Amino acid sequence: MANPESEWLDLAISGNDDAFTRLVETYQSPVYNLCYRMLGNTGDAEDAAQESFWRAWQYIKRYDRQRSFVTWLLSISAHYCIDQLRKRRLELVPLDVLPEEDAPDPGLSPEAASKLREEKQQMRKLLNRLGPQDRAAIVMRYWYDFSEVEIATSLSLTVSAVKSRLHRARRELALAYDECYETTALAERRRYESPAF
Amino acid sequence: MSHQPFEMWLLSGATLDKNQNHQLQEHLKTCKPCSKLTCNLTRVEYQLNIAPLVKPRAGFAQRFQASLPARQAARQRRQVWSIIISGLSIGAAIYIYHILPDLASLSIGAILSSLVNNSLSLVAALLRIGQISGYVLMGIPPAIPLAVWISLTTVFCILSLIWVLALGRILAPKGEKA
Repeated sequence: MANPESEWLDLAISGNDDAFTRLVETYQSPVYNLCYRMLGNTGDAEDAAQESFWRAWQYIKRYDRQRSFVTWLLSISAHYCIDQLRKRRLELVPLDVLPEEDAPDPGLSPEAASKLREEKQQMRKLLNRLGPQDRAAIVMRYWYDFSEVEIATSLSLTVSAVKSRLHRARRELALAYDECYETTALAERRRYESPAF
Repeated sequence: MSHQPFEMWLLSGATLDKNQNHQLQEHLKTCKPCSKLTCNLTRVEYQLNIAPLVKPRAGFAQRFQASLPARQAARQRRQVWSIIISGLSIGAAIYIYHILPDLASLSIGAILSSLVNNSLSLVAALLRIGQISGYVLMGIPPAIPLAVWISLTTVFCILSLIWVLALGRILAPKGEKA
């Protein structure tokens, strides 16, 4: 029996919207996560993920079945997010003024919610240090376990360019780690401090 | 103190052989910056590896599906506009090419006047073609046998039907196809 995902893909390529929606349901998390890690806030991530799927819908007839579908989707998302980050730079929007996180899961204890928020802020600050393509390379490497060849294919770069970008990005992240961690931890402690102190 | 090739080894993410690893460990014992870099890199990579996959709000796929008709309509509008703009651009390019030899000697008024004249000539030519076609269609029918007329009409109907079906297939929302 054929893989249902492969059947949905065949149907989606032949123009069935319901089959494509099934693919959206299957791949929404990886695509959204990439957009979130690239853009740093939930509103832009939602828009970018929706736009990525719309672009995939438009060009699905050009999709090469030899290639992994998720890799193809993430490649579309990464290119879109890189363009958005470049536009943001042109518009001179400081990354710090972007909307903050959504409210944490109400099921979490205050300590766990605080820890989660702190980790998210720290990660966001770290990733914001990187240029668009370096950030995309890091996200693909660490969240999706992409090889350097896969990253190169997805970002339309050479393998040596990817190696160079990963090298530079790791250095930048390691150098920024202390600063981001300390400032985030300090800010988080201040949220719960009594005004008397 | 030189940090190379140790810094490169640390940041490349590649697996080191036994000898390289030994050299790196010896260097890290004496080099504070490289030691700090290693420590921070390990912590960063740990954070990256444990960071969860962030999920969208519930109903993401439904929101996408609901947005499809509006996106498709916007795309069709864009396509129609691009065809119109392309047509006008091609017309303008042909016209400019046509007046190019005289462009240097013509004033703006003369160019505008020439544009109006040429546009009127084009409309007149189209009307004349329509008139000639009308005379031909009025003159030819008595000379053609009835059987040929029936055959021609049948072929015309079949071609029209194919055209309407093809148009319907192109313009119908994608979900209705399957």
